[in-house]
Amino acid sequence: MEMNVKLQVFEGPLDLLLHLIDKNKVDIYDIPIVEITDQYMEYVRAMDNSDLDVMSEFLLMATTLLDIKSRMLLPREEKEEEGEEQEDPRAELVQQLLEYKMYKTISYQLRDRQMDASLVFYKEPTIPEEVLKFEQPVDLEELMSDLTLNKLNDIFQQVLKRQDNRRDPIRSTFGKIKKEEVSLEQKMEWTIAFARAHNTFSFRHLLEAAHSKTEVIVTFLCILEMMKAGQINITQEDTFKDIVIESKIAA
Amino acid sequence: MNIKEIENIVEGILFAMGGTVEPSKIAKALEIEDKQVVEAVNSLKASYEKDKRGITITEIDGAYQMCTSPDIYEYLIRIAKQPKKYVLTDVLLETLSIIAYKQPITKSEIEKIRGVSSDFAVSKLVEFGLCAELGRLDAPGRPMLFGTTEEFLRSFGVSSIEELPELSQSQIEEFKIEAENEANNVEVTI
Repeated sequence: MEMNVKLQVFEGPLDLLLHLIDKNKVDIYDIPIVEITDQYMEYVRAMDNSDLDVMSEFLLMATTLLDIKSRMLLPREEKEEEGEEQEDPRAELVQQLLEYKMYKTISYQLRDRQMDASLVFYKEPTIPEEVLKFEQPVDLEELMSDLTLNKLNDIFQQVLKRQDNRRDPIRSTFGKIKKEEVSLEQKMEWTIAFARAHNTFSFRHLLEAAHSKTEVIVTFLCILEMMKAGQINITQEDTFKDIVIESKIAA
Repeated sequence: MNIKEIENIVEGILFAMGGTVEPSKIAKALEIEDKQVVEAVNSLKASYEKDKRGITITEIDGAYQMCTSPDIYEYLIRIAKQPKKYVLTDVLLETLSIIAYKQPITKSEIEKIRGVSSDFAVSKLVEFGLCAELGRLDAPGRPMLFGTTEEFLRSFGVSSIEELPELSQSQIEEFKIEAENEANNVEVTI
């Protein structure tokens, strides 16, 4: 129970880290990683680990801390002759903490604003929606005043012509390629019926009815499906030999 | 049309319309310049203030809306029922401030700043009408972008996003100095 309270206090690993930094009164730019990591780990160990999502976020930060800790403990490479300054392993974490702290501060300011703003009441719209949305109806007579049947016909012819022009004269002579569709369901029905009518049959025999590669594949799937359902037994003497199917549902 | 006349018309329009009304809409109806409307609203506001009137006009995202003066809250609340208030938890406020300052922003960007998953907070803010989906970012996975709404501005009494309290460079420097001072008071070894 106590742990739950802790989880509510710290909204996340960054929150906990900020708390530890504040508590230890240390400089955010110069975090004593070893101490902070130890204290952080203490908190993590004490946590109720029933919520894995939350826990994993805290653990991820723990690994980051341990990684930084180990990098800080390692002797630093001497790179001075290149004039290159070694980057502080804490830099990225510090940046993240600063940004987080900034938004935390802002959120307090927003809370104050909200308090002030709640003293003001707004005038809600009182004019009904249908009145606000009202639009002058269209005057049909005015709209169609200069429209004659002949003009309508002209426009219609133009539309047809435009449609015609859009057609590619070469491509339109091409034949259509039909998508081949073999439904597993239908093939299943057919295969079951076949198995009912025959005691033993070969897979090759079954394929005589197949017209395409897809159909062969679907037939094979049917056989697998029926095998799973225990409707058939299958034997094959050797690789590439005929598959012999023994029907258990034969009439 | 003199400014006094415009003020009167604007006052009536804002009262009757209730919600936000854009100055350009009023200007079009009155066949005057936008800036004349703005002028009239400002002058109206000034006179409300001078006379300590119970109403005022607020600006939200470039449009105007009539509202009560905070000075009369104490009395108003005795008559009007207090509207149901939602309480924004620290998590929601944190998330909201990130969205407000960085909008349009994706959930993963928010999570990067907060270091925790923000699904719940974001959906709650959308539910409260303080944030809304703004569309999708043109990036792998096409993540949803979030931003604040007009209701957000109203609830926090700001007239536009630009008017949000600014956390200036000097404040960030202040953090730094504060932290350094604290550090100087303790012996720290790694």
